[in-house]
Amino acid sequence: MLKKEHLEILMESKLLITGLAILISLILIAIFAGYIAPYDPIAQDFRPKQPPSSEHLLGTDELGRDVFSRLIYGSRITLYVSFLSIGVATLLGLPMGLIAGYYGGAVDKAISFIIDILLSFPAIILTILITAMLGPNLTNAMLSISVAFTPRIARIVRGQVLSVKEEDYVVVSKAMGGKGWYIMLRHILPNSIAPLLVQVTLALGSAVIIESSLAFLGLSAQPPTPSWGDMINRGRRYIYTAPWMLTAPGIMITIAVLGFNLLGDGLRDVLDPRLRRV
Amino acid sequence: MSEVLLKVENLKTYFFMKKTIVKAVDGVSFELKRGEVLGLVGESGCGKSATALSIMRLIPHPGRIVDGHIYFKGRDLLALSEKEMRRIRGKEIGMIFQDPHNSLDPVYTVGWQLSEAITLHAPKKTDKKSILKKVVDLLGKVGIPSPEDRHRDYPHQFSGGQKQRIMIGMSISNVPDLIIADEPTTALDVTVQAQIIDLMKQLKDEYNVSIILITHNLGLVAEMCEKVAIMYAGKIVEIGGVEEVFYDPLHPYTKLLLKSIPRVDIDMPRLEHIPGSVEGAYDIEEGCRFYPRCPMAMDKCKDTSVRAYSKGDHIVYCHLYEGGEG
Repeated sequence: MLKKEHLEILMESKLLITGLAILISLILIAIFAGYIAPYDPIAQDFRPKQPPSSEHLLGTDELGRDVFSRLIYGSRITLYVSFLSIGVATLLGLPMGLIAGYYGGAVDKAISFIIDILLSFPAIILTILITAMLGPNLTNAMLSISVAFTPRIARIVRGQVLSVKEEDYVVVSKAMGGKGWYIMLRHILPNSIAPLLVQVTLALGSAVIIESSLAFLGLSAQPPTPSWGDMINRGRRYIYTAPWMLTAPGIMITIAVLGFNLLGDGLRDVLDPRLRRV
Repeated sequence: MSEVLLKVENLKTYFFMKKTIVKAVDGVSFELKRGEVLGLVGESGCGKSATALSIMRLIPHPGRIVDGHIYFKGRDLLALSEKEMRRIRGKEIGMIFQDPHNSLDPVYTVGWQLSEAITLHAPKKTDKKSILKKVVDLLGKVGIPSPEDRHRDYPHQFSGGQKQRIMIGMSISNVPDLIIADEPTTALDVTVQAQIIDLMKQLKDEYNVSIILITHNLGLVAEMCEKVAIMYAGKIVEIGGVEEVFYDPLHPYTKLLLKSIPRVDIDMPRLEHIPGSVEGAYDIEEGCRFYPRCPMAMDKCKDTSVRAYSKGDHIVYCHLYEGGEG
């Protein structure tokens, strides 16, 4: 399927390549955390708040745990949460938007109403609300992010479907005897997918921020599980005495979000022929 | 040859807008025999396409067929279930659309789309090889060079004329009895138009299909059709054999329409046009809808509903012929 010329188009976008490189390294780090990290991320060596040294590359935290090792392991939580929650949001939002956009009428009104209600909350407030209600743990954090992003994805799909379903080839397929479901999945879905792909990638970046924020507030994975948001929260108290504790995870969050956003922008450029340089 | 394939009776398709009802098709009747080509002529927005889509039962929301019958091979299409109708679309009635550039789905190869047209009506588990062979045959038949390779290409790799050829191939893929061609050449170059028309003629003879050719190109009608129906504001104003209608037009609208074509055989200082516009014509309930623009208008045209007057197969809807040769 993917031909050489397609690869060339992909390679042309510097944004996309940079974003992809960042994300692939992050994913590799998360997978091989056990080999990269020099220490057990929850093992304490009873010499807290050591500054960076050759022994502890990024120093230790207030409990004497190796910051570098926690950083490496923390990538697991971040990627796990963002991919899984946005994945679920896509699985829910895609059919919602597809059905609302294609069938219109009362179905559309009902689905759009739910979407509008959910969208009236800022994502971060909604996730805090849900995790606070259901109890602070990793599963609920992921659930809340899924709930917050489902309407965002549904709305993008719906808008796209609304424009695609007026295309001539959809009428042609009907005139050839295709039925509703068939046309929706075979013609409307593939033609609506490009902007969705971009939005899902950008949503992954937002999910990283939200997960870190929830962790910062203690509403995501519970200690001692290493997570970047939680590390920042801990480091906050020692910002003057041990700045390495929060600087390192802060930079990592930035890099991860940057990776997703670059990939999203790159995809947008590549998928939209009008933005592609010929 | 004489079997009546399609009989449209008093078809009314209305569009229910927020405040108004647009009577896009308002009491249209005509007959089409097997193997016959009917030209449906009229200016933009006179209900030609709405008539075509009504026959396919593909009128988009907020339009609705409110009255009439469409007998196709004896069955009333308007009485069929959606499922039965789907079996007719694409199999017994094919359709060719105006804009070939948007009629093919850009994400699939043309071969895929042709095979879609076939498999939608083929028994399940028809083997892929025989479908592929059929696709290649079809592409060859409609004049795509080296179809064995080109069926793997995407729509953007074809020219407009080629895309329309592919659409024609799609419409004949299941050997239909009727093809509705909705302005098949409007979006094409003049030179390509002639090729497409030749192709359609050739296929018509080969398959003995009936064609409804929707167009506003009278030259095309003269070239291709045996019968012609002139539509104005949702109604047929005149219908008959092409020669009768073109050489002996009865309705003032037809006369004006024919005068507005440039001709090289007579000296015309200026091209005629029909003064006024269709605007408001759809609001005329009783009476002739062409009345406001008609040079021969009489008082009773305003509010007396128009009857059909016939001269053999040549039918005209106009008060001028009352009691006369009618």
